[in-house]
Amino acid sequence: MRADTKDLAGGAILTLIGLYVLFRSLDYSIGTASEMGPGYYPMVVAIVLIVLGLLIAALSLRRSGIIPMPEWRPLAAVLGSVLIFALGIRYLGLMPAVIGCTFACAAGHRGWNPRATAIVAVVMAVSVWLLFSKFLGLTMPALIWPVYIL
Amino acid sequence: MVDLASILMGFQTAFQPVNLIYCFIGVFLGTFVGVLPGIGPLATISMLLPITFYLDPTTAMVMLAGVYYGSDYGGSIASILLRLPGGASSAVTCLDGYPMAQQGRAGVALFITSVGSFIGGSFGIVLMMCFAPALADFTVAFASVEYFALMVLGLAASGSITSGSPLKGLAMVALGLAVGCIGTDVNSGVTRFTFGFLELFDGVEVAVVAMALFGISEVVSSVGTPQTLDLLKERVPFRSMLPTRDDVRRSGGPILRGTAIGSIVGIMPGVGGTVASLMSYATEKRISRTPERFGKGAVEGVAGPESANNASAQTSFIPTLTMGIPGGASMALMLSALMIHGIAPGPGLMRDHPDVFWGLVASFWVGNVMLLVLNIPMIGIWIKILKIPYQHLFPAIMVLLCIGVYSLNNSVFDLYLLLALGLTGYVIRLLDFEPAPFLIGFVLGPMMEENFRRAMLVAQGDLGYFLTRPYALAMLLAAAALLVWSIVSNFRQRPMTIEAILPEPHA
Amino acid sequence: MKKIAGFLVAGLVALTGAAHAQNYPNRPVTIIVGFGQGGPDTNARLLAAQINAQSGANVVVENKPGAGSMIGTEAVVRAQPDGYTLLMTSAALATLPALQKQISFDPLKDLVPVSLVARSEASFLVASPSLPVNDVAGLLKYAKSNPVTYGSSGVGASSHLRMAMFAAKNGLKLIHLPFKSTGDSVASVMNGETQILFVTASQAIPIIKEGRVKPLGYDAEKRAGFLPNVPTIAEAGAVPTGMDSGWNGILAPKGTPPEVIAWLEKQIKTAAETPDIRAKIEGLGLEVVASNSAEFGKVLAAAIDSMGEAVRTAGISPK
Repeated sequence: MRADTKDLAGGAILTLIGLYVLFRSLDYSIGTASEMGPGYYPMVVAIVLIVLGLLIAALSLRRSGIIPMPEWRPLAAVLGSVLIFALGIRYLGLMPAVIGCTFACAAGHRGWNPRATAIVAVVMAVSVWLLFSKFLGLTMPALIWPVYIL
Repeated sequence: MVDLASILMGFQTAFQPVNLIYCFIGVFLGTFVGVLPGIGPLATISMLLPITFYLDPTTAMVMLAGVYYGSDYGGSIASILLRLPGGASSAVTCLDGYPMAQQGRAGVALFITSVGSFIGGSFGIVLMMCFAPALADFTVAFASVEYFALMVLGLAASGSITSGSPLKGLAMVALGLAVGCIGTDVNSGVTRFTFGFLELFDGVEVAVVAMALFGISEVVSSVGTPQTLDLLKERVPFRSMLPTRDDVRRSGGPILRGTAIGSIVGIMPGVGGTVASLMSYATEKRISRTPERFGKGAVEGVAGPESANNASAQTSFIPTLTMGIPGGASMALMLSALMIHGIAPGPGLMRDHPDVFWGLVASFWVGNVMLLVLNIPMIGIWIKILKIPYQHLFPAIMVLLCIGVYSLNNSVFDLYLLLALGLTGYVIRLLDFEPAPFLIGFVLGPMMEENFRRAMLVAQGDLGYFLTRPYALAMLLAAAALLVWSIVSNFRQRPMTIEAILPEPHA
Repeated sequence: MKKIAGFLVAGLVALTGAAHAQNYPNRPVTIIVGFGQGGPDTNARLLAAQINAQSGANVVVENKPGAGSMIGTEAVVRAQPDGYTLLMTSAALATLPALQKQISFDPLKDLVPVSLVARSEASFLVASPSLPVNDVAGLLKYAKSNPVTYGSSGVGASSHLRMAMFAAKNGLKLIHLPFKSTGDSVASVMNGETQILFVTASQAIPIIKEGRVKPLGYDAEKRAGFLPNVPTIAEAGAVPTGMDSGWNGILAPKGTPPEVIAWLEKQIKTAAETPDIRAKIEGLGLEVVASNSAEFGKVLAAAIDSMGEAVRTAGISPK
């Protein structure tokens, strides 16, 4: 069957999100058009989403097209660097978070140079600490564990 | 109405050396934090607040205000160079500013931004100087029904903001509206779609949405490409930073229109720069003879929104100073800076403390001149950022992005949101949808719902109420006209077939 | 090198719990504010700067806004009770038990009050210029036969609860229009979209003086010195709300050593009573009331009762 899988997938996702919002909006009181409850507007938005999603999916069947391959390595590296920063700042402190984040992101580049990255990571950790904690006065301890340094 | 003696006195105050110095500190710091993603004026102003306790109230306000409008300028630098908007208002600048940078025209984009911001800001200031008292009444004239109408007009105008398929653009607006539902419903106090997370009770932070949708997906695709932009390998001569005659010709109109739009929108408390820059962008694209250039590096798409943004940054001081009604958290903070010195902001400010009011307004202009003088020579330095090898540049950007998002609320949860929305943004990009309409729906949707429901309560369910409110009616009619126009022009350009609303098949 | 060694020692000392109460504080003390910038945050920053100046300690302020201050409060409840994490909050804390279904702590059991810092002046009941009433008696009469709307800065906000109590105590039926911020609700009473509003003195005075709103009554036991012409609500012939919603203060997690609390009490009192700080807090429309742990405890317990009643009166179901 001929189809633009890009739009087919996009339409399907939107429809599913719309269905979820519609289903959940019924948990809240709907009210009437002149006295709307908290569920009214999400319900309307959900219906619009479903209609548009179905339309996009239906029209995709008239053409062909493909979803480009995701760039797995950069994607994992970038999202991973956010995750590492989040966990780092929560449990270890700013400096480990910055170093971890830098390495994770750099690893997304094909042919990255771990040595150069190490330098970048240390420079970033120190300058970021000076800039944000010391100069701008944000409360982000440089280290939480094993010792606490603000 | 123009009170020349007061204006002169204001300039005398503004030109006092101490005020000049603090004005410079303010705009410099503002630009600097504006460039850093996420560290907006709000955090900076609150950090500076304790320092201002020991300053003269006028000097304190001069500095804090400098941070406020300076950061708007800084925000556009990151948007243009790296597609990293610090907030929703600079996200609009990404749309054409970033493509310009990729074509090696970052200097021109930054130059136009400086000039447009200066003109927009200056006009806003003149407006304040001449008509502040009258405009104060205009501020208060707007009730929920007018705000609702304004949001509808904004949504109608934004229909044109997509560069691909209108249908997919609409779907993204709807998705933005849906995500905008997350959080506490203002009218009932019920929390919706929070999945049990306390962190979602106040909704999703708009800066996180902007940075995730625009920034993260861009970083992912840049990390996937080798090294730097080839265009920037060679030395960039200063001449190439200057706009061509063609750029200047194209920018004039957008700057003037953006200034007008921004000045009006800024006066309404709580609406602010995002709506201003959005409406300006939509207007420019709508009236352009070559709308297909938008989104691909059209200089008009930078000039208009930037002027609008800065004009609104200046006029948003009108409700704050003349009515004591802050348009946002930064403004509220500046009000407390005044109150700490025993000065009550409000309708009496101009009469009781003319030195503060006029000195501050005059300092805005001084600050805008400083921004212009400061930034044009800086353009060359900013562009050099793009020469840093990607494998070092992007890790550094990710660090700044993460710190920025974390520091919004000192919340790790916001980082998880950045992760989730960043992934969403990537899928959006992969499937050839666009993030801009999403952002529009997200920003305008909640305000539209809140004000519509309140208006209906006021009207006791009577839709005829709209007919009794001339401003609201005018805006709704304008929105309707805009929709009709876009359908008609769609028909004229190409016969209305199913294919016409479909995306171009990708090669 | 010396510095690093110093950090290590400091860290080790910090880890050994009991020993450190004597030389408290030997590392930065964080005051968590459950709100965004402005409001209690400004007080906390004023106070922190003064404590640092007078004691050589390093007190820093961190904003953790969200969920009506629940997120910041939760962070403090869960923190080590060593005196290095404190909470600066407002009377919103007292509304949480009644307002929030998802609350995971008991303000009375999981936190130790340290000291009140400031109280706001009482609220004015103001009316839109377009409302055809000029005093409280007129309002009571008018509202019997006409729909009257009032604004607030949100469902469960003190401006909402206060009006709900006022309505209940005076037998009125009013229509509530919540706004997103105090500024929006003030604008709406000025332009007549809403008709009445309770607004704190510092915000009310400028707009009353300029005739942008009509003052009906002052919700306190005696008249305000700065606007002596405005009668109290009781003088005007109605029942005042009797609500005590305008305070803020510092609390610590349960289990914080008493010596630490005592140190903090003393520092806060000294700082808050510094003439300079006092003047600045007063400029914000607040009155300095450095108290002690026991006194604050009483205020908090009473507020939880009265706010709980107000939430039920307003008919808000916990979310």
